Amino acid sequence: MTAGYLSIPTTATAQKERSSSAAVRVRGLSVKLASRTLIDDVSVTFPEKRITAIVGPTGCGKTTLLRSINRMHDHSPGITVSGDITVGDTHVYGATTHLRELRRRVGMLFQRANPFPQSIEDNVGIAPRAHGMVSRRQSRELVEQQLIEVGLWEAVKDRLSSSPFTLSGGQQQLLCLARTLALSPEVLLLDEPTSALDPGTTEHIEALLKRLRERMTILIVTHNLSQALRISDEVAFFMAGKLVEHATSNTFFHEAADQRSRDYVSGRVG
Amino acid sequence: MESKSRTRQVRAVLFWALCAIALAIIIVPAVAIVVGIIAKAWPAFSPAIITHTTATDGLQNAIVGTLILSVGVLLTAGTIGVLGGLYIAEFASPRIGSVLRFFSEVLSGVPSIVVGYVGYLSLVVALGWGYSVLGGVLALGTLIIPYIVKSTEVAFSTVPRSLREGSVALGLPKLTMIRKVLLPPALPGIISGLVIAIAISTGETAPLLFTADFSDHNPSIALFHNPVGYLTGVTYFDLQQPGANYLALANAAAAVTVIMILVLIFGGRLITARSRRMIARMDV
Repeated sequence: MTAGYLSIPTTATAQKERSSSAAVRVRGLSVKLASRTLIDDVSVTFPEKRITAIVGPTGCGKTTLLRSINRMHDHSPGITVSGDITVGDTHVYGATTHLRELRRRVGMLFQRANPFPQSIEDNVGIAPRAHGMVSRRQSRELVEQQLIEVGLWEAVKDRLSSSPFTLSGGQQQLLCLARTLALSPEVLLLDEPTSALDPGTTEHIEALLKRLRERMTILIVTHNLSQALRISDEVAFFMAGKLVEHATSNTFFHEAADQRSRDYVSGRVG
Repeated sequence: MESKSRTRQVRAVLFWALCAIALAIIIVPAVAIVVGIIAKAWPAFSPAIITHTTATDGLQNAIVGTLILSVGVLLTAGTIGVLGGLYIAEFASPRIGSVLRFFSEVLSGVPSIVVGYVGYLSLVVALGWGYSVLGGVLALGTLIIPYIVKSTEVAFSTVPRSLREGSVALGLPKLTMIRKVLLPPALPGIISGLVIAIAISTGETAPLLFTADFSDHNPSIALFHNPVGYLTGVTYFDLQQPGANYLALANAAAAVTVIMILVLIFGGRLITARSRRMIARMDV
């Protein structure tokens, strides 16, 4: 055995060493739609309790990457995923992975608010009850707690049983965030969550994310570079399904290593 | 240039005229039939229609029989059709879904007289039920199950994808997703499909002739060996009898049938309109 061979850690020790600092590890990930490659052999580690902005031009695979982490592609015929993703110690694509439990731990917020056709209260309480985390009675308390957390409580406390469609677009998105947070996720996936919202609500959500960072790993896909600059600790820059650069926000925005990153930041590529 | 734009104008007018003619071909007969039937039946309408059975120039037994058959069809074919449509929309793999859809389409193409004859051979003769309410219900039900399967499947598949993704991302169990998230927006479409299907079954005659026969008396509780009267049967049999009173009763029965169907279709449309508004609001 050569020294070089010995220096490569086994998978188990590698995981152990990194699990404390790596909440989401992506290794050799490729995603294909039929024969078209959407993500091309991407390896990247998103550290724990950090906000990582995933940026890049339209069609570069940002959303595809995000949706690989909670296995949303399982429900899209024709999409095949290869490679490995781990959330903590759990292999996302492992044969024995408990899919519903994975999705409890990895929450997702979509570009457009998608409240369920249930009461405001049930929208927040439905998932914790379905996962057996709370009883029907405890659910009320949890609902209040989550609505307070996202800053929606004062606006809805007198109409918890009304339809969520009476709320404004921004309030609906906050409700969906409360619905996701009610499961106490360890990872939060955000797919352009503020692109359809007014500046006030956007600011509110950004402040909320900075607070949430203290207890969960946050990945946010965004087209808005100023937003990435405002809230992210790290930036992962993608082009044509490949990871171009992964750096701290400071480095990425001020002294990016790759010319393509610098062009993108300066607005020459878009 | 001049002649080219002229040709285009002529073409546009021709196309418009063809569309108008096609529309007229649909509307004129529909209105003519409904108005004609009701106008013809008008002199025959009297309280006796409701208070007497067909034995004494009324329609009581036929109206009651039609209602019983419709409720029976709603309970049997409605349950089977809705569950079938739900299965195709939410549980079946694309391949199995397409096979089931194929068989459902084949069933919808079988002529009603054939469904009636098969019902006669299997239920009336082979199972020994005789002419019966249940036989009539099953024959009618077989005829409309494909409609209900189709409308239910469409109702579920037109629920906005964002709701489905939201449920999946929360790790909701499939049944919770169907009950709490998909069903509320799908329900109006399912109900309107059921209503239209019942309207279709109300207007059927052939399957009943072979399986329910006809009776001049009010239906009794017995499921087997118990012929039952129904409105379309009155029209079918009495038109073949000599005598003005038979003709009047046949007309009256046809009119009552048409009115029942109109009420059902109108109700179905109201529900559909409501469901469209609801789904539009959700897809903001």
